[in-house]
Amino acid sequence: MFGAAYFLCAGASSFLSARNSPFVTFWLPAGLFLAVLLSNPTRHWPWLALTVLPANLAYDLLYGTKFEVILFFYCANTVQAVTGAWLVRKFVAERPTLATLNEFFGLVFFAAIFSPMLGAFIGAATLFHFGLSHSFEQSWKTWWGSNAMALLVLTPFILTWPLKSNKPRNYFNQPNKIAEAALLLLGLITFAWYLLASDKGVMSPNKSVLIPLLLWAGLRFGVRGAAAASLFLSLLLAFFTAQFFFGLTPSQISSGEYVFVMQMALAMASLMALIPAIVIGERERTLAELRESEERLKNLSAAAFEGICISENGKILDVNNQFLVMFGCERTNVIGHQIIEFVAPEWRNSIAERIRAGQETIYGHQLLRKDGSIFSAEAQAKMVHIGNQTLRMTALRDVTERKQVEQALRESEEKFSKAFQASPDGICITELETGRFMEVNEGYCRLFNYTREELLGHSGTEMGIFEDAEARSPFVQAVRDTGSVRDMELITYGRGRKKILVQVSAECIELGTHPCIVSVIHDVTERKRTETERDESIAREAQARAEYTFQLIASQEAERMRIARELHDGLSQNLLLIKNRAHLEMSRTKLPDAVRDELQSISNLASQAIAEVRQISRDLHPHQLDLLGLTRALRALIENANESSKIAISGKFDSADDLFQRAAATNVYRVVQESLNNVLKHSHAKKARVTLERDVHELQLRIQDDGCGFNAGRNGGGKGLGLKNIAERVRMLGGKIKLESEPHKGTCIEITIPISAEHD
Amino acid sequence: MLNRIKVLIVDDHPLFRSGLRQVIADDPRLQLVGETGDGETALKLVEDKKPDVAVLDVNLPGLSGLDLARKLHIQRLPTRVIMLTMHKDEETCNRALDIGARGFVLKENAVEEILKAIVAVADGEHYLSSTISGYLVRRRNRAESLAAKKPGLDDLTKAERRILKLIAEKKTSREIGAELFISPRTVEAHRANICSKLELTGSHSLLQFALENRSAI
Repeated sequence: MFGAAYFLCAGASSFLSARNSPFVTFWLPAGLFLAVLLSNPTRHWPWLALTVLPANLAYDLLYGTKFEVILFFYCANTVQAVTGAWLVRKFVAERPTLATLNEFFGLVFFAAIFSPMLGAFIGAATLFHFGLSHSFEQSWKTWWGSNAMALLVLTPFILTWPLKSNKPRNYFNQPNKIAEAALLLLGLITFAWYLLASDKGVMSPNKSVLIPLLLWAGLRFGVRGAAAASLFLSLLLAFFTAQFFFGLTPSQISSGEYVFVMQMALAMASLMALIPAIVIGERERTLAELRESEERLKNLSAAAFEGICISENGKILDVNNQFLVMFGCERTNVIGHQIIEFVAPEWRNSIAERIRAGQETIYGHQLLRKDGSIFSAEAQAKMVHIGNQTLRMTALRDVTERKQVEQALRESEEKFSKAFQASPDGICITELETGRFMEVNEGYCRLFNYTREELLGHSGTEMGIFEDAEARSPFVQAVRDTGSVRDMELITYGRGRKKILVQVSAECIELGTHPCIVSVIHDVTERKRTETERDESIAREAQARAEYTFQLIASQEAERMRIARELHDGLSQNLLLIKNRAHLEMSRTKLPDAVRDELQSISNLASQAIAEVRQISRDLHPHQLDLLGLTRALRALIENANESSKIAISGKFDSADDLFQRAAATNVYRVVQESLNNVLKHSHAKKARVTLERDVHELQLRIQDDGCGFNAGRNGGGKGLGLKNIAERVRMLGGKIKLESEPHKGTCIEITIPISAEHD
Repeated sequence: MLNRIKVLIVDDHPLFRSGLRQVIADDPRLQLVGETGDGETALKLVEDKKPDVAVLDVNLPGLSGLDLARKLHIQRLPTRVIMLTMHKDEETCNRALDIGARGFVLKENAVEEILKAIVAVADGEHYLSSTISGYLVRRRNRAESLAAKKPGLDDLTKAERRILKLIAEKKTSREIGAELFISPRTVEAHRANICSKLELTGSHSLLQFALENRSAI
């Protein structure tokens, strides 16, 4: 497409030049070439340059130029365009838009003036060499002029009217502007016509009449308008001059001088139009930017939380709405007033000093509202120099609420701190991992008798509060596992390895990023001792009671034995004597029958009494135990029971005579006796069996019946006393008793008594 | 009277003794050679006076009547013993007979029966008070059944059976002791007891018995 455009431009250029002239007045392709190069990235330049070649070739061949000449022309055009573009890009801008004078002059100097010189050298030399021109100087001038003019007129136009406009202007919405443009166009045509037709054409000294129009374009239509206007004018003048030679003398035509004059004139016209346009554009843009930034600032200050105040020498020039809200007043009551009026009286001196000194640090102070109330605020000021003014911009922030929150926080912290310190229990905060103390309270220090300074930064293990790391680990593990610990009992040590029993409740908390443990430690040493003492005293009491029972039973046993002996030795003996005496008397001869009968009845009575005493005595104390040993005594017991009841009682007894002292043997005997009594009295059994088995380390006594049984869970019910007595005796023997019974399923009492195996 | 029966009375109750003395003294067949209230003296008197019959109270201070009777029996002294007792029970009677007493007389029947008893015992017969003569019948029955029955496992204590079982496992006394937490000496004592109860002699026969009865132990 670029190639086609190039070809068209070249064709158009030929129309703008005088026929039969070897010179092209106005070489438009040069302007196009440069503009296209500048509009594209540098890396595309070789391709673009190559595209130009066929276009150039096509045009010049049509024109009838020799092939080698065309190559030189192409060379000249390319060198000129590339050099110009490169220089502009290097020293001026990547893609100039003629937004500033800098860009414009850069473009003019490098692209429009300097680079065409190079091109002109090559082009003129070519023309001269091939005899197409007789004057190198003239050719160079024309070449340079045509190119420079094209560059000056067309390039700005292309650069300012880019094909891809990213900012479409809606001219059509502005009918006034369109009318003005039409008027300007008409003016340009009129004046150009007037110039060409009336006077000496381009050689006329009245060319300056065009200047107002160009200025108009430049001033009213910006860079684009100016570029368009100058391009239009150039095309107009060049076309008509070249085609019709208006007002030109033949000498002027033949010398080609008019060309140069026209070129100069058009160049001047272009500059005339563009420079003011650029200047105005630049200024307008600056103003727009300024307005924008001002707007932004205004928005910013309006949106700011802070009250903002601009002052000069302590006098308020402007404030934002927030400031007014903050102080509760109208703008009119603020502007022009002294800043100091808005400061609480006691702060005025220091603030005035600050304002005078121009300090810019943040400071807190108290301010005065219109209604006389005072509030705390924080301010930051900035001194700004604008022109010869020194303004102070102050941002104010109401910190009353923050102050209150801070105060509340401080108070709550203080409360907690007091509670922490005042707690009678020890409280400490330790790192979970290391066990290092982060904080301890007085209670803690008191408990372990260390100072806070000694403890902080050290672990309980280091301080010897824990026996070793092992002693702490179950506690830490518990905290890790469940996040907290309740009333865990630990053994700890205070200063001087004083053992302290403590109860610890702890909670895992995050302090910063550290997992920590807050522990509340309660000294239970005293309580434990009391508990231990109480336990001991209970044990002692139980022991005493047991001993008492033991003694009671023993003394009961002794008493029974004593009574039994008394009965035996005293009463029994006397009864025996009575009976025997009676018999002795009866054996005498010659006794009256009546006396004999009397003696007989005395003997009988005595016999009866003896039997009774014997029974009492036997119940009181089993004489067999002393006389015959435990095994036989038990056997006798069974035999007696068998004789006196319908229950078939069998027994099997391993010999156990050598095992027990008399008191212990008595207890075993009594246990069997009591159990057997229960069987006889309560069981309604048909059969019962008593066994005594002697194992290596224990003696097993079993009394079993098939009677009615009872609910063993109810501890014997009516048989309570008997069982209690049995249990007590078994306890005295150091044995164990097992009672199995269920209603209607019989009863089994199993008693196990430990014995010393080494009995012989 | 050359063949008067020499009698020794041992009873700690003086009045009762005097009653007996009177009865014996009144009988021309008998000659009272001594009387005493305690076992020690009685033993000496038996050795010195060599009575034909000693009438011993079961309950004596110091050496009891039963102990004394046993001693006499063990020493194989010719003196025959009649036990006097207040206790009307079979076990005591059996015990007395077991240790060689020939007579067993309840004290309450002493005056009536003592002369008959002494004469019978001196004649080499047994004598039991009439009210307890039933015991003798039972005793005889039991003795017969006891004699018929071979000694067996039932006679052993649980501990002895336990040890017997270990013997059947061919364990030594030391091993058995270690297993039951008792000293080997105690095991040896048990073995001896088992042997005597089962009427076995020597460790070989004990092992044999243990092996034979292994399943029953």
